[in-house]
Amino acid sequence: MKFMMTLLATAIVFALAVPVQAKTKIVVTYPYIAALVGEIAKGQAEVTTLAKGDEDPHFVVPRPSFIGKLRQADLLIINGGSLEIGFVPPLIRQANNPKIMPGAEGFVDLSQSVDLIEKPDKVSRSEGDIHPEGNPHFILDWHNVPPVARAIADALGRADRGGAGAYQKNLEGFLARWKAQSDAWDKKASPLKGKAIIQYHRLFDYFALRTGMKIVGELEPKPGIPPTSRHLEELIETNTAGTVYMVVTDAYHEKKSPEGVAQKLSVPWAVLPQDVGAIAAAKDIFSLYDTLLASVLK
Amino acid sequence: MFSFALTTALLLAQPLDSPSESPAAADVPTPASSTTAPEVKPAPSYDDLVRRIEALEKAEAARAAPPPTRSTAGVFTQNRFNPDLSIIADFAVVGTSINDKTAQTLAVPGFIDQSDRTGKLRGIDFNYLELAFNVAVDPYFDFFSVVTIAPGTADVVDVEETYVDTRQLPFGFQLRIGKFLSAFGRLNGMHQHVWDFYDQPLVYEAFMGTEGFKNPGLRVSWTAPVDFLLQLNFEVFQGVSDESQTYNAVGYSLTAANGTTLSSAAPFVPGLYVGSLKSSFDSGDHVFLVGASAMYGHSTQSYGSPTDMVFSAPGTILYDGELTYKYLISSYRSLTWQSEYVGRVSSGDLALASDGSVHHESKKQGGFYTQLIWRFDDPGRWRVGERFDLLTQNSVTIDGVTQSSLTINGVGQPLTNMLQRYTTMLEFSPTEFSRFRLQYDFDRSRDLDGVRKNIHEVLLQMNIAVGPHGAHSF
Repeated sequence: MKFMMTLLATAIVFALAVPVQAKTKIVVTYPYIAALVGEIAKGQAEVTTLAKGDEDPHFVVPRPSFIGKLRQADLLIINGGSLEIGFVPPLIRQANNPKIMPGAEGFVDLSQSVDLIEKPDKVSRSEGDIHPEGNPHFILDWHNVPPVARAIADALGRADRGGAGAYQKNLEGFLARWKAQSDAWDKKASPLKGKAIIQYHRLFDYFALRTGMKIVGELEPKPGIPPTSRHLEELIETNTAGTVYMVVTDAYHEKKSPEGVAQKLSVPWAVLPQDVGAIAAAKDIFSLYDTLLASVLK
Repeated sequence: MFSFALTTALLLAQPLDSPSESPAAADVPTPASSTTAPEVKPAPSYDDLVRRIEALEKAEAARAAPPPTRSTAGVFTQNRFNPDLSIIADFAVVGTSINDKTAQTLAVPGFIDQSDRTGKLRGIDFNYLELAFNVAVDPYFDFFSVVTIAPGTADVVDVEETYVDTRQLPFGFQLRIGKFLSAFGRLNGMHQHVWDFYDQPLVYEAFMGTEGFKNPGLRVSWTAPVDFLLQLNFEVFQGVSDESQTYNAVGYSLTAANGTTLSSAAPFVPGLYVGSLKSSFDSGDHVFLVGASAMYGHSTQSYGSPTDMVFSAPGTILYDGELTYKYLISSYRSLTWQSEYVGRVSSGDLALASDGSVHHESKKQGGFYTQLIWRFDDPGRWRVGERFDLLTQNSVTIDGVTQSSLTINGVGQPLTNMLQRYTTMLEFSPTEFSRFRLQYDFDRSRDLDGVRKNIHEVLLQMNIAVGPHGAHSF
């Protein structure tokens, strides 16, 4: 009993001694969100990123230490579209932080600020790991960055009203720089129009839509289901006409299948970054799209 | 609790309907109408064009059609407020070196009486069907419930857990009210389908019961505002449970052979208190989780069938130390080493039916398990694991005299202290929703009428979890 009482007393003492926070504490799920927060907050926020760039965004290990970080957060910014469904809900529950509960002002779902494609008419797990809200990898279209950046600036402004003006100013500066880059990428992407690619997972659909590339197949027979030799053979057979331009994959899946299929089709294959930090060259939000385009413009 | 896989999609789904998020979205240009890329816009794809044509056709058809008669049939339909429901089913094919009748009557002397033993049955077993509900009650509470149906001669419906958690308490506090699994130790709070092996470690089976300690109660938990995990839990339970191997705060009444009735008054309830502390920190890809727990309450244990003796011990303490180390090798591969020590200290009255006498008995017991789990392939569908169980301490004194054996219904059971079991498993999960597990165990912890048995068991288990996406385990 004494032990229990000591525990309880310690808890109360600690709870009352919560220090006043100077900087806005922000937890984000993926590195690209951290990069955008960095552009807008410019050091006025303390950012914690849960996933690493070279991790499978669907399978982030919910480390218990994340609970402590969420417990103190003023803002939680997620990608949304069920991408975090496997690791964020239990962390939120454990963190007991009303500020970042879904529905609270401090819970920001970025997928709400863009239009998702490939929203399935009916959902069944027999179709593999599908997302009822649509394809969640929207950030790979650079035209989706401005609305997402605006949503982040608004959220920062709500969490730190005193800094709202500065955040809007930083946002405008960022958007101006982005506009210049975005125009350049649009021009750069024009030779890709109509080119057919095979991808590992339905990861680069937004990138393909923006560049005008056509996706003719996935190495995965169904989303989240690893490639089978029969499916790969079928994929090779249906694409032997020399129409495929490239096989693309991501940093975290095995490389044997993409390499094998590319060899059989006598086309190049490339590892594309799906997030900041996925590969060394994609070190910030700008170089992410530079690298994406450079990887397919060969 | 980190791997409480029943946690589901609704938490994330809610903000989709939240009006507070929409203003940001409303004034944002979509890619199609973007002002940021006026010059070079890639030509729409063929599929895109087909979609647009279809949309236009639909719009035109809608204009041409007479206005639809308004149906009020669905006005009060509230399906979208229904809880998330997960369904979990578990099957196994079991082969053991002992027959079913013997399996049910094995004892772990000093720990598990032979009348309490529930062994695995040979053949094809339908272990359980579990229904898990989860929903936000209102802005203030979350609701969880797990109902298990264990098939058998009579299907047994068991409300495993039903509780509400607060959502809005400040300073990192959370309150839980209902019937729930205690946060004691690393495994007690985990449901069966997230265990790393088919069965619980020996120390859990010996002290907690085969499914962990659950009871009506109240929990206050607090998470510290630090960058690592520091969590304290304090629980009060009713303390009356015939499923627990230790705690059951009931009085006893035993009629001895000579006609004397031995009895005790019912202890005060609620009478079970649990305190636990958990902490976790990482260093790069190395994650550490440590914890300490203690449980305090009234123990009532009866031995023999028909009951030959009753041990009634107020102030029985269970204590636990846990250590988990996980190395995250890649996005999919990992190595986890997990160990836990559980001890029990109890002393009280030992009432004997044979001669109607009451003695003072005191026990000091304990044991540990240590296990290694390796998730070894890309994309993380295979796991292999090894567990070693050992009961290390089994000291019993009656009226100050150390006992070397217990005599129950005339049969002597030696009080051995090195009782061990070795378990190996190989697991394949085609997706996160289905899992096959092959397990072999060599069990040297059980006695049949005072004789130590060597038991070999092989089983193939299938587990499915359908419905909302569960959480990944740590």
